[in-house]
Amino acid sequence: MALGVENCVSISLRGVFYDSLSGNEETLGASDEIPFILPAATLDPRKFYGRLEPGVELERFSVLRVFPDAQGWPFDFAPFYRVLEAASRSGLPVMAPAMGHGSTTVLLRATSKYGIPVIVTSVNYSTLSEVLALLPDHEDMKVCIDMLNTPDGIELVCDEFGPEKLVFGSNFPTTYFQGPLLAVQKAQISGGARRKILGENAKKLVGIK
Amino acid sequence: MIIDVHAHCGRWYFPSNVNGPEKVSVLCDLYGIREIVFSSSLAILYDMAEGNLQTSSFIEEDERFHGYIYLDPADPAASEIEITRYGRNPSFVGVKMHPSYSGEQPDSQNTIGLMEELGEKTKVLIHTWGADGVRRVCNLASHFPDLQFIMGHMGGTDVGGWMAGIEGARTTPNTYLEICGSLLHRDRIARAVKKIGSGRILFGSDTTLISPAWSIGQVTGSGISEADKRRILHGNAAALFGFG
Repeated sequence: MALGVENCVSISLRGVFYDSLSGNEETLGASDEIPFILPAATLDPRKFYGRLEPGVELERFSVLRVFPDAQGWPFDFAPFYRVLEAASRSGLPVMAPAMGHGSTTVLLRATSKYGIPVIVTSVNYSTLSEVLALLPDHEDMKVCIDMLNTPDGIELVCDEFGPEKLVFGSNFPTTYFQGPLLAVQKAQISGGARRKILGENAKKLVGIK
Repeated sequence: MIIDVHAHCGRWYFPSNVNGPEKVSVLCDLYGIREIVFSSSLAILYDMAEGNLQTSSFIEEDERFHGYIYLDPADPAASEIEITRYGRNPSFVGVKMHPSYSGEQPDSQNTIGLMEELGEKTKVLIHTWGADGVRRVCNLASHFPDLQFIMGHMGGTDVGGWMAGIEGARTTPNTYLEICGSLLHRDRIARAVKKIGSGRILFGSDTTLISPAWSIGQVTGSGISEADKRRILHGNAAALFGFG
């Protein structure tokens, strides 16, 4: 693939904005057609309350991604706990955004209860302190660098908690791929740390050899 | 080579060790920034006079550093003192205003009064957010055709904001679009170039709030021509500010 991407976790926007069932089917179809796509499933807790619709096989996906920001629901939300139960049964890590102050605290409280690995996306200068405060107490927590945009945010996480805590993400094609890539390339970290962030950590998380 | 027209000196309310001039010089080396223009975070968030004093010391530390005089139209008398204090200092190359923090709209009577105190061709960087913010900055710019207005964030990170920014720049000739922000939709630069050409688009990073990587990636990943990229990354700012 152009841009030097070996694999990408990707999802159909149909599942985000319209219907998770048909969106998940579309994601699996794209993954079958384009092997470097690692399919991400989604469940919309405005509809899902614990019973998977026929045809949904979460085990076929790499990650379960949720979109409370686009769909307008909070993490302290009973149907979301059912989503986490489904992720736990399927052994999938959950990927979710940092929203306003306090939301990531609530998210981690919930995922810890179910013992689920979690990848927090969309962390920026405004939500960085919350994530840094949570990292020491949550072994299974990773931070996606898609919006980790402070001048030394990557260095700060690496120095304090180790590069194992970071995974690369770009939010492409909604936003530009080159910004987060350049941030990792220019970060004052070791080559080994860079390799972990750009691929090795994510490979472990989604089980790629 | 890069000229960054939207940067800040001073501390912020989030975890970061990139504050002092030494660290910022290293950042400039790392990203190839040849000239960079700062306003003070202290001036924006808390104390205009102390913040501008901070800027004046900061920009003496590296020949690539330049300053904006921060003005708060909510306090016109104090702002006029700042214009008098730093207006003849060649290291200060423009003024900066932040309507969200000052609480004064870009086209308020106080703001218009302050603009009357500025010399011809003064560069005015204004934090410009949302369609209403764009409309007000363009309204202000129309009052002062001899000043040059830079719309910080090109109208914001919501689609409606930056689309309004592009349209505002198209219809208001003494305005420029500055491109930085946290969430950068992939179409915004290509669309701006298509609508107004590349000649009035300026590179800004918002460092030390945001790493320059994000804005640089926005230009390099935009799909526009190499000549347009060069204009945005440095050519336009070199001409506007007279940097050699």
